[in-house]
Amino acid sequence: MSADDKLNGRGALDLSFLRGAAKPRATGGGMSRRNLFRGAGAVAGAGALASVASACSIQGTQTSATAADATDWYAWWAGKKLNGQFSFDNWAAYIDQDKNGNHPSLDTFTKKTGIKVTYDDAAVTDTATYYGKIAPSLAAGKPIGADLFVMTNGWEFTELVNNGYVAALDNKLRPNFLRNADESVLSPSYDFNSTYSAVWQSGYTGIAYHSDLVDGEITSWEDLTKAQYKNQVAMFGSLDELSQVGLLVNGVTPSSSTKSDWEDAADWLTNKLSPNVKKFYDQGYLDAFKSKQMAITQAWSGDILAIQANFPKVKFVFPEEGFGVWHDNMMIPVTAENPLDAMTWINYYYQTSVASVIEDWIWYKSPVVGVREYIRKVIDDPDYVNSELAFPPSDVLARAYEYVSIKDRTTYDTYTSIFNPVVQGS
Amino acid sequence: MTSATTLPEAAPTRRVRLEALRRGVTPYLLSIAGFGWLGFFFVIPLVSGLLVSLMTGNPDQGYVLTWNWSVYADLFTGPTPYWLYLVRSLTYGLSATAFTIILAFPVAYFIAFRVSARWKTTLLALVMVTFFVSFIIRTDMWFYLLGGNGPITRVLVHLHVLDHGQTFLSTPGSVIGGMVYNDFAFMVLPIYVAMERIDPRLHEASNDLFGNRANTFFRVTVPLTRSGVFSGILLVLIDTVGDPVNSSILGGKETYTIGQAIQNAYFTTQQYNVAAALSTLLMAILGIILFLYARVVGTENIEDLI
Repeated sequence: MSADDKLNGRGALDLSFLRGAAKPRATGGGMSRRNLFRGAGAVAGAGALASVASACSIQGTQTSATAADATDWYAWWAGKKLNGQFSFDNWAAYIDQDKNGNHPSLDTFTKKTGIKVTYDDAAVTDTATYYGKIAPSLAAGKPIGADLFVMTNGWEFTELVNNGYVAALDNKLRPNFLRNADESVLSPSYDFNSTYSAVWQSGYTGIAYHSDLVDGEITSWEDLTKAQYKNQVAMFGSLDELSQVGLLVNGVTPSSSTKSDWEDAADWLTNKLSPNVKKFYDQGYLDAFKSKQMAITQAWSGDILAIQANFPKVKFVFPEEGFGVWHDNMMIPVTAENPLDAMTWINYYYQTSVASVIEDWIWYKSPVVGVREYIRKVIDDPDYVNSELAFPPSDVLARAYEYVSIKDRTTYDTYTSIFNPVVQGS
Repeated sequence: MTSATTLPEAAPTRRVRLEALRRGVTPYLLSIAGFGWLGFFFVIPLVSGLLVSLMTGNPDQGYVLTWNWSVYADLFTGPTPYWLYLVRSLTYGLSATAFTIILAFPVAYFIAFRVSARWKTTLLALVMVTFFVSFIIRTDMWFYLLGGNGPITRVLVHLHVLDHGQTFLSTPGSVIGGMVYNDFAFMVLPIYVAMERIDPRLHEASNDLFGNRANTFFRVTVPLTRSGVFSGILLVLIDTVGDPVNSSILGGKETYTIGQAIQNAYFTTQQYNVAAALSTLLMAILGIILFLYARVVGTENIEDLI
């Protein structure tokens, strides 16, 4: 028996289990058995039904993290081959597109590298739902159909990493990233050294308003609490977007905030801001704003830049107290069938000429250096290049802040228990 | 049976007893499929929902059954006012049900009694036609119609019924309106079926007995359609009380319902046990209400419901 175990590599597995078990968060595997007995004890005498019931449990997702911690990622990558294809899940309207619905950048990539790209631009509609869709397959160790997907920094990003669902990216395979990535995305607060991700786009969350529907000028988050804007303000229902506002108003840096900061922020949101809020939006805020559902809304910079041609009276504000800068990240699932092809794309994307063509269509903020100059000189698109919305001046950029970054479940539970009541209201 | 007893001496034999047994067993055999369906899609989810609500843990480390009954007490003593969302949902559901009855009754009456047979199918199809479009998209269309730039609001602003920047959206009215719109057919159809079965001669009889139109309507038609209204109430009330869609699309900050709270507990805070406890509680409350309702005003004859 024991000889067989060794042959089957059982020894190595035991070791990896110990490494995982040393981390307090990865003890899930051993927990359920103990609790199973505790549960059975509590109902002793209740008969067979009870013991059947107490065997019920829901398997945790954390157990697979043990394997991820033990993975030698250099060896993992060394074992992968180019397959001449990969599939890419992204948000809608988030890559260049011609009149026929083709994506010229992807076609050029295929021409140059011979790698075909299956691009799905309807795959991601919101972060939590997409995570909910892929997590079961990842937990079962099965491919999710995509070799590359785009995920916003936030709790789901943390879960993907903590559960060992995404591959660590070998820097040897992405030299262009190290050379051309903007300083702000080389080692973001939510992913040290960009180990598991490479930024696809960044953007800012500020305030947008219909200047023809609003008396006076809005310059700060605090302005939204004025009595005259009662019932005219829309905010995002996302806890990260809300906590950001509450923290910045109180002069706290979100990425280093503490529990008591959160309580103060939630207090301001509930008592000062909420009375003026008409609705917390999960999605579809832009349609509602365009149809003048509300005069003032929390908004993403690129969305407003895109609609300003049709809505000249819409203004975007970088609030005085500060504003959030978020990142949508490319990630490769560990179960990907074509990880090396996806990695080739990441490296390819981080060239100024490539990123510029894509950026001139998306109009958010590219993570690649030199894009603005390239678009000014080579592509010649002054509308985008001269927009303060896309390229805020440096004194404005000084007020840009990363979001609260949560690394573990206990903290997340505390965080949601403080901020969720703001959205739920009473 | 009567024919069996009139047979001569040889009748109470083994064959007859077997026959009786077969007759006794057959209905049960036939209902196996029905009970199986009920067990699979109703009892199992209900029990598993109850069990999950009694578990503790989190999605990372998994959930283990610890018979944590206090989760139910926490729903009412915790900081989140779940009782408020529950009362609100029940209020919305009951109002929506009342409005669907008021609107659906004349429609069903019209189709059943005032339209020639040729047109009945067409009109019923028109009532059903909205089902060809997804529920979410239909609700979203109301969001557009009632929105600040939508046709309805623009006309009402022109007529000075609404001020600039004012809409019907984000109010309890728009949420209940959405529910009434979405569940309208669920009320029309059962009432129509009940009316369809009323013998026209009963109306004539009422007339012969000097019942005027109002008397005939209230003393003959309405009582005979009670079973239809009863099924309609079942369908509409259950559907609207737990609904998160109308309140999240057409509602606002102050129309948060129990359906949204369940969704939030599942997706945002990822407390599966709380989500399960809320669902179980909602099912229990709806179950009690409908049971009492059935006992008080329900028909004695269960066939009348079909």
